[in-house]
Amino acid sequence: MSGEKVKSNFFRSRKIRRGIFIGAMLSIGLIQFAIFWVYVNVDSILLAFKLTTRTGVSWGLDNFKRFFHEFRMPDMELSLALTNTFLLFLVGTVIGLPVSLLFAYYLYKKVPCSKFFRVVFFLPSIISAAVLVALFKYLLAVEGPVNTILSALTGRDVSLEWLTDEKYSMGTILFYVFWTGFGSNIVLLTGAIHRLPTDVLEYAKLDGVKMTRELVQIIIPMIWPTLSTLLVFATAGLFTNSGPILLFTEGQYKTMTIGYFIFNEVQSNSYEYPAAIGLVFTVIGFPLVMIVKGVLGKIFEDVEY
Amino acid sequence: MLKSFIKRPRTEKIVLSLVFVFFFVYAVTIILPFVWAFLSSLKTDDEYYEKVFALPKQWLFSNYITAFREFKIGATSMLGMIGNSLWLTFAGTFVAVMVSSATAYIVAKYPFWGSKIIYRIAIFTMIIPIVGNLPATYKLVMQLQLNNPVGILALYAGGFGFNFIILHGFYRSVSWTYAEAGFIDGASDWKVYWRIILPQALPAIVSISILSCIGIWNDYYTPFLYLKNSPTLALGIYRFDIIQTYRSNVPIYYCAILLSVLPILIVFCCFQNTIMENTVAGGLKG
Repeated sequence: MSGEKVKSNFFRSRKIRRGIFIGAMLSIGLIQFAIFWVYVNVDSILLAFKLTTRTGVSWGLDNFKRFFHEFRMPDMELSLALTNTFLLFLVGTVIGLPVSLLFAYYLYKKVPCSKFFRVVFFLPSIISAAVLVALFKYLLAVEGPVNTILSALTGRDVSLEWLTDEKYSMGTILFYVFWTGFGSNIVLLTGAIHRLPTDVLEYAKLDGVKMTRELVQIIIPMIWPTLSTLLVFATAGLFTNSGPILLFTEGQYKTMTIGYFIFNEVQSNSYEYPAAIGLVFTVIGFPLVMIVKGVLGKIFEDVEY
Repeated sequence: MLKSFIKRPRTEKIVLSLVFVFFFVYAVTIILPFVWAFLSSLKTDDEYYEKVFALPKQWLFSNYITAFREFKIGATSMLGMIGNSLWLTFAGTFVAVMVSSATAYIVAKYPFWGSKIIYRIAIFTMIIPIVGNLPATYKLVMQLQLNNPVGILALYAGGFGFNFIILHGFYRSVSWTYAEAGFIDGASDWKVYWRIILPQALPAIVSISILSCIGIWNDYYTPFLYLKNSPTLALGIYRFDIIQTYRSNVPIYYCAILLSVLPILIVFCCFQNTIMENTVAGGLKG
């Protein structure tokens, strides 16, 4: 047997073994992806066009027609759900993110005790929403601490139903989302600011740059990649993010959101209609994300440092 | 810290002082509810309703023992819920991290025809805002009867999410020299992965594991949908609140709430820097 043949056999078997290795390592991930992403999404689309009734299964646009019909009816919850979904996005992201940025900036500027604050501010994002909401509910109970304090301050008997009165419930939830939503954003943004090269900021300081200018003209452009990533992901989650509705009100008292509506339908064993609603909002959401991504990418050209 | 504060210009000092006051108030609103919950957890039920703000007359630490007996969801006791939470947290994290690590390693270090496509798809699936896949997922889980503490792990075994992106970044930058030395000594691909690469990746793996553990421990959504018969602690807290209305012993409920937060706080105290720094890494690329 010639040496060359042994060698090529050796390499061939090595190549095969490597192929097996690659295949095996990827197998679970790929199978999981094939089932829980590819199959699930194909099935979602199929479900959206399917209508099962007592007489049988039919295919068509019935689910979509029902959706657009119910969406226009004033007493149905769908249009309200869309409004609430946008409100959650507005409060959590459009307002929440700039506020987080301010928090992060002042933590970076070494407000006294900033290390302690950073830890405390992060706590809401590592404690279960189930716990936070439970505490929040008890604070706002009719005879709970908040009403007790308000009574003491106003001198009248305040017994507001913060969560079960249609007038306040969505506002209360929005406040909760805003108040507990800073944590991870603050940590992300302070991290990004701390990774900036200090010499740029030092020069600016020597030139007598004031805080507002430092924030707006130096820091924001330089941490733009982090900011825009956060915004893109928030936009991608716009319609999926049901908010803490399950924990607070289960969609009662005018607090319905799109995400919770779908969830609720699934809970009552209806699959086809929510799949159609989901498809509608995916179709709306996809270009939206792409636009946001494109626009944000163009505001500041990549800053090199 | 104080020294650098004194040296600053006056307007800055005023602004920072105002910010300090505001931060302080915000921090109090976060901490105080937990102090209040702790005090409430030591009261009797009547006392809790009578005087919301008063200190407990007797500090009933025995409430915590009672909680283990009385905090129940269906047939599942508190210990059962803790057990369910621990199982889901550790098994789910193990599955999630191991699968992501394997896929990330191959895509980063074994360039083949599919690796670029896989990477692109992973990024794409994270940005594309799919809204309505819950119905199909729910149907599938029920059909395959994965709605039990073991089967549900299939949902966690995804190999192309955030963990993939982070570990991919790590494996791409990890030195290949040791691995090559291993290959020359005749080690197989498996051996190189297990004996040479994974030990080097341990810090990265530990930190994403901690984040994953916190996430699963806190998650009430997945258990609510799929694990109705084996509730976790997070789900228990949600469900008990609803049962509450007609079987009230609120202090016991506070005990359960605080006990469920305790592990998170301990982990956070031990790994504070790891957690914070890796939250950074998690949002870094994209």
